[in-house]
Amino acid sequence: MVKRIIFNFVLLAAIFYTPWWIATPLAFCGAFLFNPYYEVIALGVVIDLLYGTSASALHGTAGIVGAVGLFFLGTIAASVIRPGYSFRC
Amino acid sequence: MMQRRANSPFEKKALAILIAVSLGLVSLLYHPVRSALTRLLYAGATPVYSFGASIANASSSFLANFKNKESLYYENAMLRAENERMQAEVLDRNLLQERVMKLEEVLGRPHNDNRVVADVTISFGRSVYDTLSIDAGMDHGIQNGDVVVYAGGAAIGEIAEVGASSAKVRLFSSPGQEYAALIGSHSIPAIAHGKGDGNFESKVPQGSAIAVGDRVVIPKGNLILGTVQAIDEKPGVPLTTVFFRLPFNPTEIRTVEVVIGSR
Repeated sequence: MVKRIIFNFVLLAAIFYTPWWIATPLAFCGAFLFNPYYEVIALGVVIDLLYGTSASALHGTAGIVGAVGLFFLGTIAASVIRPGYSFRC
Repeated sequence: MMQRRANSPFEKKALAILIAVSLGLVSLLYHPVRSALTRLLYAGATPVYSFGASIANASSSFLANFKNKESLYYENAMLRAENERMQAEVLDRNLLQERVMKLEEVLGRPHNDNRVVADVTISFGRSVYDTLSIDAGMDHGIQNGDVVVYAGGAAIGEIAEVGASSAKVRLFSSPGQEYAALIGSHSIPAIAHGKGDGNFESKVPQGSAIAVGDRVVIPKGNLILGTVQAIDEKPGVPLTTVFFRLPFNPTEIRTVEVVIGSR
């Protein structure tokens, strides 16, 4: 649990201070390591509110759409690669 | 009749995800909620970005102590030379500006736009959106659609969302954006299509007098949109594709001017 909280802060800092191409692989790592990583969806909303506008691509919902994609990609990758992992699902 | 409930852990988690995504989408797509959440987030985010900027400044000044004397001397000489060259250019520019103003007065079209200077709080390149945020908003007279200018004469974007003391700027180069533009010394009209990261693409009739390095301007205010980088002309194709980009690196923008009432 502590690891997960620390990781959330690291990911939040990455969203604030680093370009998107650093935060995106980190979010994927979160979805891969933690089961299930719901926080990524909230962080997707934060990205849209911080950087997006209603007039942007996908009406400014690219962050949440990408976060949902990363959530499922990370979960599927973990269930394939990590032994004994499933969506508790 | 019995109602089926989500009992298994899988069903509960799937339902939780569905609810979270739906709530997220509703809050983003419903404008009043989005505006309220953005204002709330910016109230907390502004000190976070200031803290990050001060850490970056402190670390760069700390690292500067380890630079050797020779490289510092060389860098100083380079910067002095560059400064002198730029001062000369500014003098030239001031003279030209005076001439333009006199001509505009003679023609009865005095150039008197009202500009607000703002610092960039969230710089370009942090997200997939081609946006940046500034520390001025409605309190300073800024409204949606106002043109944002960098270095006095380069149009970089327009205000897309405005709060009381902050605003988001959508760059003209955002993918999917289209703007009227005039290319080259013959002012060939074209539509500039944003391609992201400060890049644009336009189609002009084949044989148009355009060369690499030509300036592209937006008709309103004669502000520079970019410089032509490449021209793709194929025999037998009636249209030529012109690629152009901002004449500077958008990640280095730290201060901008908002032209009030320019929408």
